[in-house]
This record gives sequence, structure tokens and C-alpha cells, in this order.
Amino acid sequence: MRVRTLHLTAFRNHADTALQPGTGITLLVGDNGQGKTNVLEAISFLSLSKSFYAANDAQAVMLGQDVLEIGAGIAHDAGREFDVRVTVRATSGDKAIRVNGSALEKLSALVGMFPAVILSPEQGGIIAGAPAERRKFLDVVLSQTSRSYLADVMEYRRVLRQRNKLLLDARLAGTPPARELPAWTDELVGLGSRLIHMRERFVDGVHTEFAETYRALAGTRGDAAVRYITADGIVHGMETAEIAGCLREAIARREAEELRRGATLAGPHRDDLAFEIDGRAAERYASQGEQKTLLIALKLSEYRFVSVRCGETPILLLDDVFAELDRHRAARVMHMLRSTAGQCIITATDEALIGEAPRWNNEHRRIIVDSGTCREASS
Amino acid sequence: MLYTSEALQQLVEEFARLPGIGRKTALRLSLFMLKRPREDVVKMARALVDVKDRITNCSVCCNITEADPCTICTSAKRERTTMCVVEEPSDVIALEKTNEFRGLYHVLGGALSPLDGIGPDDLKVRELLARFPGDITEVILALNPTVEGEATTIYLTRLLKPLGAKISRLARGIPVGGNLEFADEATLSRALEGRITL
Repeated sequence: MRVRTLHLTAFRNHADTALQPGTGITLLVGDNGQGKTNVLEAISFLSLSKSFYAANDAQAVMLGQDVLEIGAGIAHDAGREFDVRVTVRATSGDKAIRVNGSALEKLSALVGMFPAVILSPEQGGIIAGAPAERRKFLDVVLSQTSRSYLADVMEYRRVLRQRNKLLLDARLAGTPPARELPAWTDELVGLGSRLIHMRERFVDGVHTEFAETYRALAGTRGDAAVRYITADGIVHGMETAEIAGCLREAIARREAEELRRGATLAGPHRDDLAFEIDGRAAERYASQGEQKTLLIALKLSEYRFVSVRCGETPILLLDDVFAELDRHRAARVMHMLRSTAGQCIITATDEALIGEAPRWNNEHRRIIVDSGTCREASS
Repeated sequence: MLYTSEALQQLVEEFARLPGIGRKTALRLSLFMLKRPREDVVKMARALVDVKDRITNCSVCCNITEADPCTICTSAKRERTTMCVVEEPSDVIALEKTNEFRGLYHVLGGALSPLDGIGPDDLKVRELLARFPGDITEVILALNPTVEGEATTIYLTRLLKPLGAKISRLARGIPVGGNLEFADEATLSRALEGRITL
């Protein structure tokens, strides 16, 4: 997909901003707080139906205004054009999304339609943060590429809440769990094993590419690896039914502890990803720059995975990615970005940070963002 | 006070309790009632009281009925060996409209949902088990395809299996008259999973 035109009205500090990203790389350059990230955030609304970092939609409405609008002309690889409009009302928080004039009944229908891969400082947590951030990463990628994963993950969360409520009730009352607990366990295991299977297949699909991309970016012999960590007994290459068997046993083994804590203690909501460089855990041993490089390698692998799975080239959004990279790594990242087929939007406070700038023309554009306005830089 | 009449205010508040009715619609409905002839309004008021006074639950299938046991449970034309378990009386009405199902029903009155405080004792599960042993040899679990309906299906299957009846569930899939290309992918992938050998 390509965003041809973007029009922001009352969106954060953009009162009325129109811009046309290039077909290749678009560099948004400007000082801190001018509204560069806000442009990426607006595109995230078009792709994921929400902000990539803020939990509250209504906060994106410009102060003193009631309704924000993000309007975009988007073209699919095959040339089909879409007019997408997102509106959010500050007072009620009501959000509406219209595609070619018709409102989406469910906002989740948008997920996967216009795929995006986003890399922002908030996502540093994928490498070194809490496991929840890595699970969120997996869920976002897989939901974009598989509607049935999205449906399973939403049902799984609901079943988990229901089952936890039974366990909590039993803990608070000091009684054995309700007799319908096994039914909830069955449903949890059924959905959970499908999620684990899909996540395993994702990691399987990207791990070679991830290692190669890391090596190319780092310019060293360092071997990077990514593994999915799940309930004990589940090994690589198992089918859903075998995973279900192992998950069921894992839950059974924790029965007493589940009752003591009043929560479900095994399942995809407890799983994790492990990143390693030369066999050593990245979260403990990798430097800031190495962690950043791992993250870029992961995101570029995700980019290719999404391209293949969606049959649609995603848009790549890189927010402030170059800050922690040395000159050589920055140049290699830029080189890779230029060789990807799709559109890429980058923010930076200074053009010098991106290492090796392309020639600015219609394909690669440089746009100056200044207190909520955008203008093309004269070359 | 919002209105010039307390009676009107009262009616608006009553209408506003109905599902899907906001205060604006409630006011419109109230003013509409005000304009109608008295006898029409009385007729409607009586109809409201009648549903409350005359309808009870069938002691066998727990569906809503005026006669106990209900007309389906006592009908000689129904197959007494097949039973369809549903969540609500509205599900019975929907299934009856198909004219396909000639067996008996059992209305649970909801589905398991710990978050709403609903367990087996809040559903008509004891009444369901009381119908065994009997003539029933096949049970069709026709609960909603929600997380709660699914848990209830699993729960009932575990309970009913040992009783020896054949147990089935409704197929999940593509709506009739729908185009494959417009089916949402989650429905399509589950329909694919539950495909039928020809």
C-alpha cells in the first residue's frame, strides 16, 4: 500500500496539515515537539485503527477542538484506490472510520487492510522490556496478517477473564473452584493452543531472516537469534492438538498455585520471546546500540513477513530510529530501506543523523515539520 | 422539572428503561401514546400486564408458556427422542420458524459467565438433567457462538455424555445466500475447519 495524500485536521498540534509522502522514503525533519511523530501516529490510526502508543484516542484531538479528522488517499499495490477517514470526538471519545464513504461497523475490520510496520522509541521494550511488550508485538503482527488470529486472540482474552474470575472467586471464598472450571479450561486450551501454534510459526518464519538482517546491519559476525518461550513440554514443530495436550498438562500441574493466586498461570498470556546475540540474552548483555539493531532487524523481518502474508506491501514508519546508531549502522539501515519495495516514512531531528541521504525528488521526499505545519524542503 | 406534566415524566422514564430506547425516543413514544385514543392505550396496557400475569415457565422445557407443560412439550406431533438446547426463548422462536426441527426444546435461560456471576445453578441445568433417563436419544446443543455459549456447550457435553445420548452441536459457517468473498475471515477459517466430507 502507499499513502498518496494525508490530511490532518485538529490532530494533536496539526490544525490543518496536508502532505503528500513520496513513493519511496519520506524524511520528516524538525526539532523536538514540532509534530513529526504525530504524522506517523495518524498513519497508525489508518492502519491499526488506533495510535501506536497512546491508549486514549480522545487525547489526540487538538486542545480546544471537538473533532479530529484524519483523511487519506491510499492505494493498494494493485492500484485500487481508497479514501479513508478517521474521526474522533474529544468529548465522547467516539471514533468512526469510513472507507470509500461507508462506515465500518467494527473497527477491527480495518486491521490488515492497510498494513503498517512501526518502529518507535516506545518499542524498545520489545527487546529489553517486560514480556507483555513482546506478546503485544506478536499479537499486533499476527492480527494484521491473520483475521482468524485476531478473532482467536479476542476470544482468548475474554475466556481468560472468565476463567480468572472463577479462580479468584474460589480464592476469596476459600472454597474449591466451581464445578464448571474444567469447561473454561477446555475452551482456554483450545484457543490458547491455536495462538501458540501461530506464534511458533511466525518465529519459525522470520528467524533466519532476522539473523541475516542483524548480521548485515551490524557488519560483524555476531549471531542473533529469536526463540518463542512457552509452556514446558511444547517443542518446536508440534501441531495444534499436541500443543493443546501439553498446555492442558501445564495448567493441571499448576492447579494448586492457580487457586492460591486466583489466576491462570499457563497459556499464551504468559509466554515470551527471547533474543540472543551469540547465545547470550540480549536484554542483559547487549548494548543500547546492539538492542536497537536487534529491534530494526526484527522490524525488517516483520516487514517481509507481513508483505508475504498480506499480499500487500506494508508502509514502514520509523520514528527517531537513528538516534542511537553509529554512522555505519545508520548508513546500512538507509541502504536497506532504499532496497525495500514500499513506502517508508522516517522522522529525525537532523538530516545528518540518517547517515547517507538519498537524492531528494518525487520518489524520496524531505519534509520540514515546524509547529504543526509541513512543507517540502527546497533542495 | 423537565416536562409540564409529572405523568408524562413518569412515562418517559418507563420507556427509557427499555433496551435500545434513549430518552429522546422515550419522549417521542410517550407523546405518541398521548395522542392515541384511550381504548388503544388501555389495550396496550392490558397486553403488557397480560404477558406478566399469564406467562409462566414450562416445568419441563423451561420455555415461556401459558399452559404448563407447554404446547410443544405436550404435542403428539413432535419427535420425543430429539432435544434442542438453547439459551433463550427467542432462540426457540427462531428455530421454530425454520419448520425443520420437529423435536423438543430445553431453554437454559442464558449461558455460563463468571464475570456476570452466572454459574450452572443460575441456568436450568438441573431441569435439563431431570429429563434423563427418558425418551431422549439425541441432544443438539444450539447455543450462541460466543465465548460463553462455547463454555456452556463444553460444560453440558461433559455432563450429558455419560447419560448415553448422542450429542451434536450446530455447524459454524457461511450464511446461506452469502458470498464466500464477503464472509469474514474468522468465520471462513472456522467453516474450513468444520468442513464436511462428501
